[in-house]
Amino acid sequence: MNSNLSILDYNLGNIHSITNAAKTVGFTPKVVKTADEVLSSDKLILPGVGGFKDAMNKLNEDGLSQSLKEYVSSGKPILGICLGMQLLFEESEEHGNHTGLGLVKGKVKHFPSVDGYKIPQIQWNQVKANPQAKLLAGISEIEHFYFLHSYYIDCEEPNGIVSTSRYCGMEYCSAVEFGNVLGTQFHPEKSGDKGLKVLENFYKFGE
Amino acid sequence: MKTKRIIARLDVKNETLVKGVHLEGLRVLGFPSAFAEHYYSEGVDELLYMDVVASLYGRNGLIDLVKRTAKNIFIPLTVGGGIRNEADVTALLNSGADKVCINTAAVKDPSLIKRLSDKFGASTIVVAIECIKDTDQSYKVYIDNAREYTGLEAISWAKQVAELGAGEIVVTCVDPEGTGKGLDNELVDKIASAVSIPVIAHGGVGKPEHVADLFEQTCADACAIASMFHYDAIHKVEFDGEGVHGNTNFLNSKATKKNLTPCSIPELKQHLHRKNIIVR
Repeated sequence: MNSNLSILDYNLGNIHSITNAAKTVGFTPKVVKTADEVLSSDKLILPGVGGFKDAMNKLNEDGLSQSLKEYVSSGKPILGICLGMQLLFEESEEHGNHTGLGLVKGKVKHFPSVDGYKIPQIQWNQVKANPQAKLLAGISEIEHFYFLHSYYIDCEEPNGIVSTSRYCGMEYCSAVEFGNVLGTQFHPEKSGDKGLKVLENFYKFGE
Repeated sequence: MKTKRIIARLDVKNETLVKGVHLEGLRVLGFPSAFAEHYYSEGVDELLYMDVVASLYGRNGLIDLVKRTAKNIFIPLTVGGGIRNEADVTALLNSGADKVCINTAAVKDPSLIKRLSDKFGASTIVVAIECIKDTDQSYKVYIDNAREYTGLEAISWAKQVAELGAGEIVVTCVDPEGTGKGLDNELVDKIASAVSIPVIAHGGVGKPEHVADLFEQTCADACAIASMFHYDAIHKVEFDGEGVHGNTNFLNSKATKKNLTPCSIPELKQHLHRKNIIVR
């Protein structure tokens, strides 16, 4: 099995945690920074903590947006985590309207303000997983994962939604799987054994 | 769906796990990484490392510990103690911390909160507030592990902290801290209702009922617990006293502690489940 994994470092977020977690499930992770490195990757994780606009600016400046699109059209797997998952979508309303990578149809929106719910959501929330999803294989239908975010994805392609969660009185998309384009709103690298299981599924993905 | 978080707090001095009373009078309990691994295996939701002497001596000795912890523990890790500037935060995040916790430096220069929040994201910045009830019944803010009085009023400082862009607040109830007498729920609720960001309550948990009371009587989002877990773990974590500096008399005696019902993480979570409080 090819254990190569590229983790894109675009100066946003904690690369350390995801690198350690990837090693634990069998990957040989490499932190990459350039468009060429993205294109020559076998498997890719797009992490991210921080703002949508800053992230897209950085990806556009360094030619990474284009290389990510080319990488995905070659059919190789990508896993976006948290902000990294949101970047896969068309646009975000975080501090104005900003265009995303547009690999999946949908928009990133702010959680509505509802009494008793704090924003950002910082908690282990339940994930209602589709047992058919490759990314969520072996995850029981209701499992807790660690979330940390203020914006959620309004996904326009329901077929690819493989898990949902509830916050602010609404149900939202917490993981997607569109062919080779995968994403989790939660942090698998911070969700204990179950999170490692999701990363292990990504390790086995496509084999 | 709102799940309450149970956080194990580990006070660290010279790379040793310690625990005091009112944040003072520290006893050596063992190696923090061994306790952290034990809590992770028991299903704790987060870890909080506090270098309890760092702000006093103006240094930061947690980096190696954080690196070791991040290698095999896959839950959120917050690190605090002695953080003064952007460079300190960068160093901790690059070592594997997910969030950093600031107190003294934030009081001395509140604009630091905004600068750190802008640079690293609000969700990375936790502000600790050490509170003591004044003779006029108002709560006042202390720094340097409650050694120094600031004159700041706690609720308005909490609001300011939230406005400046902090992602979370840790409220330490200094009066009951380390005594096992229970949290100051009045204080926690005042702060948790005054801000729209998550609030972690800390200081005084001595038995599982105290945690249930906290979540039933306040809108706190999480509870950070030290003694109650440590005095349970102390019998389960291997420790031979080698290479440890500090007061180990207590440790060697394997004594128990007054006002404290040692409790494991699964035992606490079962107790909360029975009370219909949602935890992982």
